[in-house]
Amino acid sequence: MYQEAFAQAGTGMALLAPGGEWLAANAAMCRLLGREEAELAGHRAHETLFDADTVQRIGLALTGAGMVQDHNVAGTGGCAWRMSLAPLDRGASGVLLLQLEADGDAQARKTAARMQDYLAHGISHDLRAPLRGIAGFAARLDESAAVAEAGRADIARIRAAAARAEHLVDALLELLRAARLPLRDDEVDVSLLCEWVAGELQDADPPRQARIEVAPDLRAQGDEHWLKTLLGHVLDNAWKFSAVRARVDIRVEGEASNGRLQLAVHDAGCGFDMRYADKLFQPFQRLHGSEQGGGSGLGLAIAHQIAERHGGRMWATSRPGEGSTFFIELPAAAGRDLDATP
Amino acid sequence: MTHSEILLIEDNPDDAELTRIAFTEAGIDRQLVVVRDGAEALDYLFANGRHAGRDASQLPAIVLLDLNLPKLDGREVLQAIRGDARTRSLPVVVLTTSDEPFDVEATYALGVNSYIRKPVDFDQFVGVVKQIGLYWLVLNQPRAAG
Repeated sequence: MYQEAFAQAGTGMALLAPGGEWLAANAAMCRLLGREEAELAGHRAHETLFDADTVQRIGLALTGAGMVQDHNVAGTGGCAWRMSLAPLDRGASGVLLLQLEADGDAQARKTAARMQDYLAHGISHDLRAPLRGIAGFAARLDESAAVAEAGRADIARIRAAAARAEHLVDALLELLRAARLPLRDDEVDVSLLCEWVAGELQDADPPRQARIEVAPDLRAQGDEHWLKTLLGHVLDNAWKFSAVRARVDIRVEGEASNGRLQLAVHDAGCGFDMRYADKLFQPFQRLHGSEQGGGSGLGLAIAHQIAERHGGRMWATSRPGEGSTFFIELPAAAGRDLDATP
Repeated sequence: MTHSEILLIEDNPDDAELTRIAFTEAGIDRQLVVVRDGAEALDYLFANGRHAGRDASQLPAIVLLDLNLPKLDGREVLQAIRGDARTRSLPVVVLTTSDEPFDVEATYALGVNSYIRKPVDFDQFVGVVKQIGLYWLVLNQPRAAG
């Protein structure tokens, strides 16, 4: 029965004699190595087929100096494998079990991650520079007496477009970073962050009538900087789409159970059509035009990305004309264990 | 009090021109010397190459450094400035477009005095330049030369 499992396994498996000779190799292993089992027989595993680093590791494992786990192998022909090598029966027979898996995904992920880094750098530096040229020289023109009054409106449009492009660049960078940067794991006072964001929103628009109620003592586990970014986008969204009301009314509530904190952000804004609910969190999918308060089209995508990076999720419900509720589920703060003995 | 110049290390001619205009609008009348890449910046500071005739003991009041430069990039220029006794205490302000957290961290680790991201909006940029001028050319007490 074990032999059958060995033969049929999708993972490449082989048994090595104490001296490193191939004893048996299953079909998956032969496929990965591009060799028949008969071709392998009698040869030593650490003499062929693998890169120098891997050969050295196999050699060390054979002497009993260490096992190999999840080691990345550069195979022949540019393919990437992941290898593990361990004693078969706790070392009694000296036989080792070699496992090998194709790791094409890892290679693709690595390339994609590198591309994202180039992209972030390109956006951050090379795209901002020409934007600054456009904005800067348009500002100069605006001050110039040589420009006729009729041209002023066009210059104002150029400057406004450059400012919008800059916001877009910032949002794109934030989205890339939210997906890539390592997160801290701290206890975070979500209520405080909401109050903080509410203060910033009011500061940015002082004459606007607003009431933002935040339930006290909501605590999550995660990265304070990124959770503030998340809440910032959700509250900013609620604020913007309340433009139709005389007053902004936002309520933040939350409930912790089973190690999860579920936040609900209610607004009384214009709401959205639930038929498009699945588009809310996708980048550049706007449900509203700019005159209704639509922004870069990235805010909720960034918020969603941050929730997912925390192992959480986000969704929303709405009635058009009455308002929306955005739900955010996050890990609850781990620090407070009421049963803990001192 | 000496009235030494401001050294701007900037490869983008639009950026160099906007910076020059911003200094004028901010009312800072020091001479702005612009060099286009990192290698020329070091030649200027140490009076080598095409700047061999310069008096190397006359250092600029402040160096404004872009990070992304051809040939020697901004980090390498910074390392060279901090690595030479003649320029070790020269005020260097990174004035760049990038605000990548990695860039900010790495540049402070190399001993920069300030890290400033150039805003896209020109009026804000003039404001930034004013503050740089006020702080580094008026308020800050430089180390005595020698």
